[in-house]
Amino acid sequence: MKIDVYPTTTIGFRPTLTAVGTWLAKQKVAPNSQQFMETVLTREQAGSTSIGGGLMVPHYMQPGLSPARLVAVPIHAAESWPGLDGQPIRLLLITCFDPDQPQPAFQALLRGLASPTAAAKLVRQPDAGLAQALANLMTMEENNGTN
Amino acid sequence: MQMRERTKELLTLLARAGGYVTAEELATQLGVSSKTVYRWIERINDAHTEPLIVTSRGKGVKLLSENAAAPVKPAEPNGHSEFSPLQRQNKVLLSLLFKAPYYVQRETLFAPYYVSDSVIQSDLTVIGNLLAADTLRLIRDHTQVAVSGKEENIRRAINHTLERLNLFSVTSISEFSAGAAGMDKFDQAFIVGEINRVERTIDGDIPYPYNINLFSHMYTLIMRARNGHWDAEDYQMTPVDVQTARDNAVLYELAKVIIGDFDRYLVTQLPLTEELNIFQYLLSIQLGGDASQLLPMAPEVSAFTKYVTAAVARQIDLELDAASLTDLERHIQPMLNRLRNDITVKNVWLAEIRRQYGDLFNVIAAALNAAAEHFHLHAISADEAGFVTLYFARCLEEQDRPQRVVIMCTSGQGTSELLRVKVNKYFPDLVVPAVISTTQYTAANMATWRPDVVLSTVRVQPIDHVPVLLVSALFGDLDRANLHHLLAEHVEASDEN
Repeated sequence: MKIDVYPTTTIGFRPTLTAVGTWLAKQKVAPNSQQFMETVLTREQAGSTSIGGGLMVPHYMQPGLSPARLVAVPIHAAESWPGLDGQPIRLLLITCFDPDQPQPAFQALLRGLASPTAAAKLVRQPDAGLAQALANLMTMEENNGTN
Repeated sequence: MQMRERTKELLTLLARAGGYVTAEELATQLGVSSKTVYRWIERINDAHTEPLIVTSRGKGVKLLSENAAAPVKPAEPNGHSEFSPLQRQNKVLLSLLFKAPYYVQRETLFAPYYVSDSVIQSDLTVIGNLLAADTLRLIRDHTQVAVSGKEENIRRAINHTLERLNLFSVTSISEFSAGAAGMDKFDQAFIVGEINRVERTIDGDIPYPYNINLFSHMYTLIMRARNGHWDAEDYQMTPVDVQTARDNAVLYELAKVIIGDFDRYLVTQLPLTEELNIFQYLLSIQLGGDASQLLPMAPEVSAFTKYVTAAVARQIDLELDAASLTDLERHIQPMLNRLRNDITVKNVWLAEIRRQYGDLFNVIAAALNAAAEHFHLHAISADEAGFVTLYFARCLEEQDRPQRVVIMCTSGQGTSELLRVKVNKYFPDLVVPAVISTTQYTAANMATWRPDVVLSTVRVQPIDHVPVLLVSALFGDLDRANLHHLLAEHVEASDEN
């Protein structure tokens, strides 16, 4: 899974998605910003992807999308919208993938984030080390010899 | 149990092990001492031109599959027979039944056993009594003997004889073939071909014990057609026959094809009754999965099943759920057909079932026989009761099973994975049979996973009344309390049922 870090100072969830969508459209990951935002919001309407501790994992599910991408969006704006636990969202982990294909790295990342310590550490991570920290979480189980 | 059967058991265990196994392990499984195991191994190796079993220090013993085809040493004609009197009498009886109504020279009949004239006389008396039990007669003069009686009674007597020879106490066709007298490799290949034809039609394997039953019926048919004779009755299909054939057209057509194959193989023209016999055997097989659609469920099956389950429920606190009830009905349907057509099945697990589920077995056997009486059917054998017991035993175990939760999100790969970790942490006793996407949320999958609750991070409608608890990916205090409450409610509801 390819990891990108896209820091932003944009305020609000929708404006942030628009900005990321525009960038992903340029990267040919999404056809355009509007389609990207609608897809992500449709999933959010079914149930929030806020996982607490200032983290949110929005999904951009697009059949046929390959390779899968993970866009880490540290929110550096002074204000941010609250997550389900009331804490302001500080890091978006936008996963772009084909829902019909297994995504073991993504699954491993989510299992790793079930640990509040790991999640808190990730949110505090400086932008420069974020990609490596995410890669470490995705391969942590392999390195521990577990599935 | 005779020595020959015990050594056969030993060979079966070794074949299953596929490699080295210690004599102690074998001794435990066979219920004898290690010394006895070594003695049997010696005996088996002595009986073959090449050793069948090799012993290695520190490793144990192993079956040499490359020597499995080694010929058995010819028996010494020293008057010592490897058969017990009971086995001998039944083997002779089987030969006579296959040849009925033709006479057989007494000398020829008993030649393989090296027994005296007085033993022959006494064996023939026993055989006469065994035949009488099946409404048949032994006709004898000074030099020859024959069996006389109706063909249906001869077939019944053959089944009883095969049973006494323990031929039904096997779980595989190859084991049955090994003990079936007079059958050559061509017969075996032919019957296996016909069984494969049935399996292709029903699109699945014929499970034990139906495979053995069908095989033994075909074996009997070949032996009777080749060695004996029976008058083809001018049988006309009754209205019930016609209706049953119409209701089960696929199986009836299959029976016709099979008998056509037999006609060509035996170069004969088998009567219509044989077609109907094969048809009844096919109806007596419990078909699983899609093949069960080939047999429409008769109303009396449901009535019989309800009678049995109600009788059981009066004795023990156990009620079958809808899925188990359907499974049981699928077993009862061919069982009733077996009862009506005098088709017996042997249950090799019976001793184990009685040991593990003794009380339950007694309740089931009593309930089945009460139902049989109520519906004017033959008494139901312990072997059949044993099979039915397994259905109830499974439900009893299900009652004690841990609760199951299926976890779902849109992709089955995102928040549901996170949720799985949290569920494992906060509810370690729960079983999570699957983490799924909304597209995998189907009735068929739910029937497979059988969850008590579906835990979802997205809103979906319940399937088959399994409650869906919508939770956030946080799986916070409120979500956990809701799940706890829902699971407790489910337990209470199960108890009330």
